[in-house]
Amino acid sequence: MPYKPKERQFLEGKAAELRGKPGVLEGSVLRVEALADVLGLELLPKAGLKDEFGIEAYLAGRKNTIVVDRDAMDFGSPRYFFTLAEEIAHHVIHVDDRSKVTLQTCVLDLSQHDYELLEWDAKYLAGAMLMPVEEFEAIFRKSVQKEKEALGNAGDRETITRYAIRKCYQAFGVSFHAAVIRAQALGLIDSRMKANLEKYLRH
Amino acid sequence: MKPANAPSPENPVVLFGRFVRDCRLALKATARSVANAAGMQPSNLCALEHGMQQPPQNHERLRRLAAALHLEIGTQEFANFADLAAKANNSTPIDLAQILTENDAMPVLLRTIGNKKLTKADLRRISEFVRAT
Repeated sequence: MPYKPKERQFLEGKAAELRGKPGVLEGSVLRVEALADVLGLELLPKAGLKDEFGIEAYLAGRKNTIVVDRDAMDFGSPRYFFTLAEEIAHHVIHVDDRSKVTLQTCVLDLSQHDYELLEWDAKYLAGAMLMPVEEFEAIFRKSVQKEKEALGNAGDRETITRYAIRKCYQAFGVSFHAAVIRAQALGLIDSRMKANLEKYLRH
Repeated sequence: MKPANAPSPENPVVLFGRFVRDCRLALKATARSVANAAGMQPSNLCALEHGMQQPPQNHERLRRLAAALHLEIGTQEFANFADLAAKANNSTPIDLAQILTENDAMPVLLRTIGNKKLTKADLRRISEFVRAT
């Protein structure tokens, strides 16, 4: 059966619902591991997961367990927390305990294209969980305005956007790249600016 | 189906791990914050909670873990923690080890009781008697 992508409004609503769970926020930052606890998900560290399979985490079958790379967990980088949020997103939107649908059964017959849509939904929900739409937009627009005023004519669009992205990733405890993707998903930057920022990131 | 290498739920290492996880969740603390307070790596605490790692053998580390879980010495929770850790490590509970080293007469008393081959009911009566005095 083909995968039916989720509506963005649905995903934003789910994200708001998850951020509303008790004890999961520290200021604006989502404590992803606390959310896993609240949802009854257990984290199981495994040594060498990233080296062997190139992944930092995956949602295991029916045992409500997310297997995580041991070193990535100990290091606790923003990228690790995003990956964890992504696996939680899979659990929330792609697993149904009542009908015993696991992520594995869900992806079994999917085409590559549908599988990518499914992954994109999880990524989108992870981004929305970590960077709520209203707050993100407000910080982004305020920072753009502030930097424009500070730089006057000397400020080019990319420098100003970079500043706004920096303010966003600092506010939500995510990586620069995650904030760039969220900004594009929300229509705050176009694909060309995204490409320029990613190029900047690589250098 | 249960994997062949999954630890049995009655395994003392598993019971200790579950106890630690329950204490942590009751505190609404993440594994990372408890691990930081206990001076452990988060992955080691998670492995311990899953019964895939022995409790710390070192008494000081075990005490730090108890403190990170807000278990106070002298409480029933601390005694349970110490007993489960001792069973998992096949050793003496940390609070008892301290009592034994603090007073020379304690080992003598325990050996005397041990040699008498008393029943559980006898031991319970002695405990009640001591508690009442």
